Amino acid sequence: MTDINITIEDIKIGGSANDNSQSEGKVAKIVLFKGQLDETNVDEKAKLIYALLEQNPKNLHLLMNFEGLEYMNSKAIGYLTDWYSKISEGSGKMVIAMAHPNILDILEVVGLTQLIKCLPTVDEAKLELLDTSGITNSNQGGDNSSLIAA
Amino acid sequence: MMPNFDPLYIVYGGLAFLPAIIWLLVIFKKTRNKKIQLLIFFLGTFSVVPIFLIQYLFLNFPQLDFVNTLESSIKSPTLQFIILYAWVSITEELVKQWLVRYLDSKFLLIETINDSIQLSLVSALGFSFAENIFYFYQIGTNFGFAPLIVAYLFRSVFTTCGHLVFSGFFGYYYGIAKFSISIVEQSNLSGKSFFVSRMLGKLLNISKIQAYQEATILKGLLAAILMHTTFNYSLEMNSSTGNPAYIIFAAIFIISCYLGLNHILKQRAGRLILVQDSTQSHPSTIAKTDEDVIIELLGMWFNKGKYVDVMHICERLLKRDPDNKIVKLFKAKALDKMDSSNPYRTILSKLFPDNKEEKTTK
Repeated sequence: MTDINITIEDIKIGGSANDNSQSEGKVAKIVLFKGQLDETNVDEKAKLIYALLEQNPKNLHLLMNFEGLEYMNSKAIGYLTDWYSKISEGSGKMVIAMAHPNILDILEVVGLTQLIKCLPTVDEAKLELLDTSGITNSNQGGDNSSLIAA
Repeated sequence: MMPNFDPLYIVYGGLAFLPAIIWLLVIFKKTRNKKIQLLIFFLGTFSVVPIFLIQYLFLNFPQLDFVNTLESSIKSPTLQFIILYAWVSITEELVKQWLVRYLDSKFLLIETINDSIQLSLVSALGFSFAENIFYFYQIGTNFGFAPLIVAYLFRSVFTTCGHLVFSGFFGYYYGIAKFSISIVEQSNLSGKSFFVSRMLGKLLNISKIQAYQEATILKGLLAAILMHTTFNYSLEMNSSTGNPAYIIFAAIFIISCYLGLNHILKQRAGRLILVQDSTQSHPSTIAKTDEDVIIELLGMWFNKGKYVDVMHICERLLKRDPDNKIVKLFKAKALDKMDSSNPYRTILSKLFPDNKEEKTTK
């Protein structure tokens, strides 16, 4: 079985360090992939994301960090498409960050880059993710760095 | 019986030529390479020679007539007819198809599945034209004018159409067998298992592809023999019982087979040029492993009926790897699979019209 490690973390948003991503009914998570998604592990690991989708059927904002993802097979792409559909149906949003060039190539040919924004850095991806979420910083004139704090 | 030459053959040859020309015009509507097809029509007329040779041998050397020996050992007249007509069908279909296969092996005439069908049609037309000359001669000289007219009309329309259709189906399967590498790979990715070909390959100690090729050619031959035998048997039953239902059945049968073949010829996958032209190859600009992932996805989505998505992906992938036959097959088959009432089919046909990867008629 090929190794793949998937971790899911909250993205902190809002004006206070204590605010978490569950503010105002919107949920923002970052999913970190490390390894390869192939026939030996994709079905098992996909369950993690589906469980997350089940727990948060509405307004889920998901950032897929593909920096550590070396390979994804056709099934994984199929799952990615399905996750995007489910998130969109629940008025949520999905973005991808730091995908390797070959994976980006695949996503482009498949047409997913027209649906899912692919950004070169995690910070840009977070900005994109939270840009239309309607979440504003209560300290309007101040430092906005907490908006993108992990 | 080998015919002695009688100048009347020229008269009956002229009679037989008229329906042959009309059928040629019907076939030519769907083709571009008319000179080659005219040549094959001409050569097809000589394909009756082996049939006459066999008949001559059986007549003059009865010990060689194993068909008659087999018939004599069977009591049932029905079974006797079936054996006789199966034998006639086997020899005629093999001879008609042999010419096409021989010329293709020498000159690589077949670039698409439809080419294989077209050339088989023309070869069969040549055969039928030559056969008609002898039949019209026999009926005209032995039975008179009225039976000649009936035979002329029926043979010109239905029997000739029958020969075309039987050979057309054989040609279709031969085309699939010829391009089996691409077709098997594409079908494999769409979920087809090729269990029979795999088992046959193990049994005969040949590859799955080779086994598929042989099995497909055999399937085509059996289809042609079955249709041919059914048609001939119906005519025989009409002749021996006088029941017109048999001839009506024979006519409807031929028309149905013709419509079936016409439907096959309209499929976009049949027009795809599957022959690799190494002088005009274009390198792929996508890594093989990445392309394999996408092609696997195409198979998955094709299987799930997501034909619109498949077509869009194929179009994008062909910009990166223009020579990929598997992707072209997926694209053509996705369009073929889409319901003709689906508005997307019309839109996509206009967005992705026939281009240089497909052969079209003028």
